[in-house]
Amino acid sequence: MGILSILIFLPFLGALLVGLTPNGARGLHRGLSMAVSLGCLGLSLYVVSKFQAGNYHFQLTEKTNWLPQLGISYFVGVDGISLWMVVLTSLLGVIGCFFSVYEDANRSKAFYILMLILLGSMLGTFLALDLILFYTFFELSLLPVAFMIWIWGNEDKKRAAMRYFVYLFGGSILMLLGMVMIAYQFDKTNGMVSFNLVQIQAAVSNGSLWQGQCHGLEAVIFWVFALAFLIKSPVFPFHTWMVDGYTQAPIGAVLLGILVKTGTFGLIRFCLPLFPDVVRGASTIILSVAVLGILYGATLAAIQTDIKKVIAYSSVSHVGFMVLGIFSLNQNGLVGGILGGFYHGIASGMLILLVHLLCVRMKDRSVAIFGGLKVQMPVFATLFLVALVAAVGLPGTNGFISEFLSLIGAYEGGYTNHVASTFFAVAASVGVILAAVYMLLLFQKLFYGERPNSSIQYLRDIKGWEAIGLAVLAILIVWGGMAPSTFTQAMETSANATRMMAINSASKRPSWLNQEESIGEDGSLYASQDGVVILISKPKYHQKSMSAELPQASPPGPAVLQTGGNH
Amino acid sequence: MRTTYFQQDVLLIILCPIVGFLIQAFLGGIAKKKLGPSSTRNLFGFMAVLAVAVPFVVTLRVLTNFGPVSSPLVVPLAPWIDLNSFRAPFEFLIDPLSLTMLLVITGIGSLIHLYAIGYMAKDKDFTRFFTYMNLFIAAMTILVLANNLVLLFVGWEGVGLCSYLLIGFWYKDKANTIAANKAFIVNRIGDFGFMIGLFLLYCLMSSKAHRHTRFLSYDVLRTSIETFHNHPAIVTGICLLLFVGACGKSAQFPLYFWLPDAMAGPTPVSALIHAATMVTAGVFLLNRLSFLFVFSPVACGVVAIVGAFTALFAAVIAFGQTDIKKVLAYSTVSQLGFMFVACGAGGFSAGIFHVVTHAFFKALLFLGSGAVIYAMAHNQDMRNYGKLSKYLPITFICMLIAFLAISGIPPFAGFYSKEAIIGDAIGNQVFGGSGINLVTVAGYTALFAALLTGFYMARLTWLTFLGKEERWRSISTDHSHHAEAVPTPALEVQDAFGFFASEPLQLEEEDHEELTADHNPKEVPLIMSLPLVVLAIGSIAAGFLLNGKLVNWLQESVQTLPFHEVSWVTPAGITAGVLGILVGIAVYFQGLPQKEGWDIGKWSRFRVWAGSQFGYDKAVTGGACASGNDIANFLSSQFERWIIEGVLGGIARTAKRIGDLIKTTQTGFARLYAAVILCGVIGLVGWIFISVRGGF
Repeated sequence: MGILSILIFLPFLGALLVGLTPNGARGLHRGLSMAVSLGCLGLSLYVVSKFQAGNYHFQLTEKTNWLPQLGISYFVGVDGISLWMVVLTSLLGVIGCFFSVYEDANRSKAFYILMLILLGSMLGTFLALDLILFYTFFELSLLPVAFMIWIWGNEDKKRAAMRYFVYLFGGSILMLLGMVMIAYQFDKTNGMVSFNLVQIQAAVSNGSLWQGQCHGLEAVIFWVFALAFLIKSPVFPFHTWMVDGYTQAPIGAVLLGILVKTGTFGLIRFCLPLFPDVVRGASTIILSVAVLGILYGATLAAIQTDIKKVIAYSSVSHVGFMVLGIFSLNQNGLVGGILGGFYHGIASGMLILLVHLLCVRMKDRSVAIFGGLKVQMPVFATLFLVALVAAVGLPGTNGFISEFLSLIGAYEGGYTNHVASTFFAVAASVGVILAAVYMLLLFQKLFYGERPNSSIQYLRDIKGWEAIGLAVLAILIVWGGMAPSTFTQAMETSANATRMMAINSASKRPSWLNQEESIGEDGSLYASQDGVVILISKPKYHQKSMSAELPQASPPGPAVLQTGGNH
Repeated sequence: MRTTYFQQDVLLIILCPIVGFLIQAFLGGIAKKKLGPSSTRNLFGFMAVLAVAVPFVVTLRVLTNFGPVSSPLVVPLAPWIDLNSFRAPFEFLIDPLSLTMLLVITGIGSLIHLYAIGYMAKDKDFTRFFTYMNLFIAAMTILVLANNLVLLFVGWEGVGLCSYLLIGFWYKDKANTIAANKAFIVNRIGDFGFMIGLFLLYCLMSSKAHRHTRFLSYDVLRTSIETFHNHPAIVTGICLLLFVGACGKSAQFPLYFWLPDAMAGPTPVSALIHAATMVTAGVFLLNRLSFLFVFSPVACGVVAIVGAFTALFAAVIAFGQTDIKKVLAYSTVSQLGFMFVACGAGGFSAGIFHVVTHAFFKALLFLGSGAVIYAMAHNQDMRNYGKLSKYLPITFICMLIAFLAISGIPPFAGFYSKEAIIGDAIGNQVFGGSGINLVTVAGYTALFAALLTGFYMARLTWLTFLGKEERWRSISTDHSHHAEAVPTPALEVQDAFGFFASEPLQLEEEDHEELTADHNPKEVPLIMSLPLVVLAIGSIAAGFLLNGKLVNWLQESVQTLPFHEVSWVTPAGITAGVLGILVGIAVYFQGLPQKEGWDIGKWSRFRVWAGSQFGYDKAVTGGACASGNDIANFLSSQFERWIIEGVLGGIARTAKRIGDLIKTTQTGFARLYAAVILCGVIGLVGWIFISVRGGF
């Protein structure tokens, strides 16, 4: 059992252990889940140390047959795109357990079991390389949050849980259909059913999967995938579930809910490499939606009277920036989008945590009851300021790096026309102004001015341990802004490969296939071990010639594909 | 070798204020508890000054080592944004321009820090003040030392943040915090232009084959002259967009209106940030990119006209102000306009010359006004002053020197730099040929604005220090509207986690001095008057010591356009200054035109109108806020509710209804989920078996 499997299943094991402990032992439950998530953090940092930057292939892969008849396997691996998301997940898992003290009074055992299942399934989502495995984890991560909102949520919890569930489940159920259709198509062209992402992408990369003649099918499946991920991200106009989720969920769920980053992650992992013929055309539509979301979220954030809703709408705006970067299909933009997922998880996580600590104290989320808090909560105000400047995207904080790269990518433009890309970048930059408006208004209302004459006068500053937990995130914010190369180093090669998978013409696309496996130009799948090449499958419907449809396919495929060759 | 040597110095210059900032931030609060307020004040005030003074000394050392004729030197430190497609490392540029700015920032900065120890002595948030101040110095040094535009942007926004924090320093007053927000947001609008300009420049650079990917570094940009030459339209666009950023930071029309409100901050802040250093960042930016601007006569013309209009507009508004700091704020806006006129005329280095002299006399004016405010129990209304020269002799003499310097009277500092600007503008060759030359028009406008400068400064001086009566003696003290302390209701919260204290936090009583009729102004302590004297010496000497030399030295790093010598500029400039002062004396010799009714009289309607900025601020700010609110409310109450909730919610509701059908009993949605999963799995398995049945 490899390191990645241990990482994924450790939380599930932890959940089991928590399940075995007696009901009332709150401290034990908390300590145990804390230990497990710390273990995950340690393991994921170990993965970082093992990771070799500069290589876009999946590393530390593990593959076991699961349902071989259906082409489903247990296949996990890490690359530059998922690497830091894994670390973020484990980190927020630790922070989530750390700050659940105020909410675990009621049914603590169930709370921590759900928390650990959530952690494990999030990790699985980022590491899975088999479509069905990915889908399993993706859907599994829905359940704990839905239950947490349902049980531990605030006043409107049932409606919020229901909406959360219906939106996300409804959004992704079609994706399962899309996955099956891909496997079906793979079977048609390559002679076997496979949900293996690497194999499917290899077939895409040499043009044998879509073959130019199933553009319609390719487009349909692309949009099914994109819809699922855009709802999960969530991009305007699918954001209402998140606004409800943010306001109603307990803190653990919110923190890991920030890992709606699986949405943007899915866009990068699946939508770009698997549907190259559709992506370019679709990018204009998705970019428009992203820009609308940036402006819409920022505008609405400015007038919210519920503190958590301000943060929720600001997240809608920030997610717009990530999607903007990703679908700019530009080197800088793509790195900005990937980085944005990681950075926003930290900055927004800190912000929502801060706001939550305030709401837990006052049992009220309306902005109006606060004011002048800076006098009595100076430490809290300072930490809030750090999170604020990151959300505003001030240079020197991590928010700036990702936003700047996304914007510069959008401006430079990948595959939209020049006027459109200029328009997108300029309109999105207006979001940077609006970010200052809503964040400063919130800060002013909470911390400045006279204190209203109410029980907030008795409020104390946050406790030492809370400040320490938050300071960790604050340090990461500054680190991310000052030394972004720590994170971009691993991302860049993978981002670039993903970009080329999406924009290059068939046969010039890179592929994730290692030397051991390759797909011949006729669509046959080969595997080589120690130099011996074995034919795994032959296409049923043998294609006459690829080069007839693809005039540029006359030179042999890229180097990775050549070991298989035409034996 | 040389580079590593300078590396240490650059690090020292940047790290000193950062370390100072960290010390103030983390140890300040602890020290106040352990040592008590007074020794904390001495210790931390001293450390704050040290954090700025040490970089000043180091800069002097760099200056001597750098030599008078060396070429610009790039000092790389570490990678920052480090992608294969784009690099922006931590790299710094040592050249005459950055050294000049550094000397101004750290030199005048340390004097203002020293002054602030005295000015802020009674404030309970003493260390918080110096936390922000030291951070500001750090950001400002990064701004001027950066060798690429992205790193410059770090400093650019960093100083904006510090400005925001310091304007809202006394945050209990809501008006201050609104002013702080306004400053930050208006600056952001400028930054919006700056960023788009940056993107455009990036695309222009990256579309050409370059050896390295440090596209936005000055040394790379300077060697791409050919690219700029071939794309005049794009260069004009870049210049204009970057100028929008400069307008925001340097408070030029149409984005000037945050600066007068920024006077809500403590007076040392106004002197350091909103007069001497931060607001000149726009002029600095134009100087840094002078090699770009010289390719675009159109952009130069726009810069000059905007500068000239701002200079005139702000000078006129200054007549309507009664708050002493507001007068100085508009004066700053006006003087910044002069600097932009110089840049627009292609005489970039003359702009920097004015930055330097202006830093001396405007810092002096602000600190002097701070001394007056300090002496007058924090009352800032000039209508309550008069004959203060009797009580504040040192302040008066220093302010008088600054007054003559800003009015352009030889041999004071302002004369030389202003003359250089007007000479450059009137004799410019930006547009070459015949026809109406916008820049020349700007030059004449600036000359007229110079006359007005003398006028309104004479008004300020006479109303404050001279005149016939001590007007605060006639203040009636009937505003005894102290808010009744409302008893706090007893707390009834369940406090399981110890979130709440048993008693509400007692606010430290702050002494609210009020200006009363029997108030006797006192001269400021030595720690505050010392900086005044040093700055006064600078305001006298900086002009003739640097005249010609500075401009020549800057040739190394700043490109300028040639201009004709215009022989009559010097006498005309002197005449304008003297004339302005004489008119001012004639009008304000007796103090206020009318004894009581300030707003009665021949010119009063004009004054009130000018005082309200001709309605500009109200229209822009009010309009933007109202329309923004309307849009947001419409989206929230109509669009979000009916379109998004309605349509998508409808789909969701339908899905739920289908789910309800599947769900046989009402046992919660866990079973629904299981049922749907089951259906899904059955469907999936069925599909696959059907589709692959040939395969087995």
